[in-house]
Amino acid sequence: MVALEATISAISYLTLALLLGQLMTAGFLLPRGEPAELRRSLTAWALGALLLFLGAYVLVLFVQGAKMQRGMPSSELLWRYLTMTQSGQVWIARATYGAALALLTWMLAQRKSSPNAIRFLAILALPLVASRSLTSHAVAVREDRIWVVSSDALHLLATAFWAGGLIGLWRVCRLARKRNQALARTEEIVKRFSGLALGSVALLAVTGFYQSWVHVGSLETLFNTDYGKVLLFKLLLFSVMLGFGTLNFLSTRRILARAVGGNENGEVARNKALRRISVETFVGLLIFCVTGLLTVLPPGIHAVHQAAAATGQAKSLTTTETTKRFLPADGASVKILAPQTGQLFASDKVPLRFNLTKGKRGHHVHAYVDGELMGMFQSKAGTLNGLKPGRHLLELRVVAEDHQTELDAFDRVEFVVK
Amino acid sequence: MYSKFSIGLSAVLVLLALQARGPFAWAHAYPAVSVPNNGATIKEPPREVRIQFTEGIEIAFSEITVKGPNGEVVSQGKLRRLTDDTVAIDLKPLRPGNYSVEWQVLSVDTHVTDGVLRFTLAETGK
Repeated sequence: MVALEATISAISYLTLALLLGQLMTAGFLLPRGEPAELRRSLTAWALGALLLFLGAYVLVLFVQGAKMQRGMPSSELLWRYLTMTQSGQVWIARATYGAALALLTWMLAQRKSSPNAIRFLAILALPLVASRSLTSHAVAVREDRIWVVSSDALHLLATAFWAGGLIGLWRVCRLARKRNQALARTEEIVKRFSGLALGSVALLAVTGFYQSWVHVGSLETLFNTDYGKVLLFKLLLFSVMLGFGTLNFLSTRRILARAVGGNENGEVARNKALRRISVETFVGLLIFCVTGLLTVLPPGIHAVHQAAAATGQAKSLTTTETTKRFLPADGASVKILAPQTGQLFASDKVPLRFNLTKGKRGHHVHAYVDGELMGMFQSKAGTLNGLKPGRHLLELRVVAEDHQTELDAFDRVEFVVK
Repeated sequence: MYSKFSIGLSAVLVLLALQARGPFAWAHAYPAVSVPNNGATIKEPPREVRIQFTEGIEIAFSEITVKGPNGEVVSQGKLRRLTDDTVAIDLKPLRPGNYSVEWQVLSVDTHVTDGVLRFTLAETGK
């Protein structure tokens, strides 16, 4: 089941990248004067990729149902999933949008479409690629969700531009060789793609670093968790791809330019360029496989909880029940801003606001009400729920990432629930 | 060139198939905090069990069942959502003994996880 989920996930990424890459190539990279059938062929490939994606997306739904039902999912369960969950509603929206886009792409593939029409189609494909973020690890983070989801969406788009565009470039270069087209055209396309790739790589580096920081959090997690190790492998592949990208950017373009100028054998230059582009494309495909695996792995930052759940180990979290470990604050501190001392609340829901300085070891706070742990908070606001009427003592304590080591950094306040 | 690329593409597909390996743990939302705590011995009978998970969860596909010393179900009513990541289930009046809290949740990033937490209600005066 897990292998199937990872594989389908990788295929989804790959097909969407292929869709965007073909449309970008047909709409933006091909110079004027290219044969119309080449554009039509690229659009047809885009349609094929989109149909493959829709097929894989139906499988995604069935795999999701099978995970929840621990077997063949019933139609009733799938309907409940689609209508009652956030990820189900995202599935409906993406599937509908994808089907409409497929219809539009099919209509364009039937006729001699202008580059502008294909560009418009490429722009319409962007939300379909980016919206994968709405069911990814990014949507499950506790803090700065809008930033993490946006960054994930940009990361997906940049990947599709680069790796998907490479597949488009590879096809165009291969067809150019087959048709013995002028080398100047190939050189122009490679030059145009280089600009797109350069921007994509910069975006990938920035968003990739941010995503890694959010989902991994520390070097220890990077090296000691499954998620971290797979991410390292992905970074290795990314470096290899970047190496070939650099080679193409610095060397291949120059070789093609020299050949166009008559200073080098055109056929040798064309073959060399195609060989290098093929390798870069292949590494890009490998990256999609690894990305598919990452989507089914728990983010490294949850390793502590994952290990606790797997072993069933008890956590020592309350002062009244077990002996606690306290470490020096080392710069950590917390200040409760709300509730204020003596504040009266009419309901059992009490809004909580605080300022947290993490220092060297601090990661989040534990909230104790009358000595009983009520929750953990990573952001600077939250709500205490289910409080009984009466006077209560709230204590916030700064805690290390392992959830067990509390620091000598706390703040207390008394309040009343009517 | 085409055949070389085809070989490469085949290798990618093989790699996809080889993703069926075992030692990974494939899950995402875990209990970060529970009340009563996992493994705790408490003196006052709780009126509910509350779990805060590491991620937001979908309550429509999540459940918590609390079982008593003889395996009898002591939780009652519907699972209540307190926040995106925190849920609670009401309990019948408890007597001293060992209790297990069986949880299964669907996280907002579509992953299903489950597990068991435990707590003990001590005899009065102990």
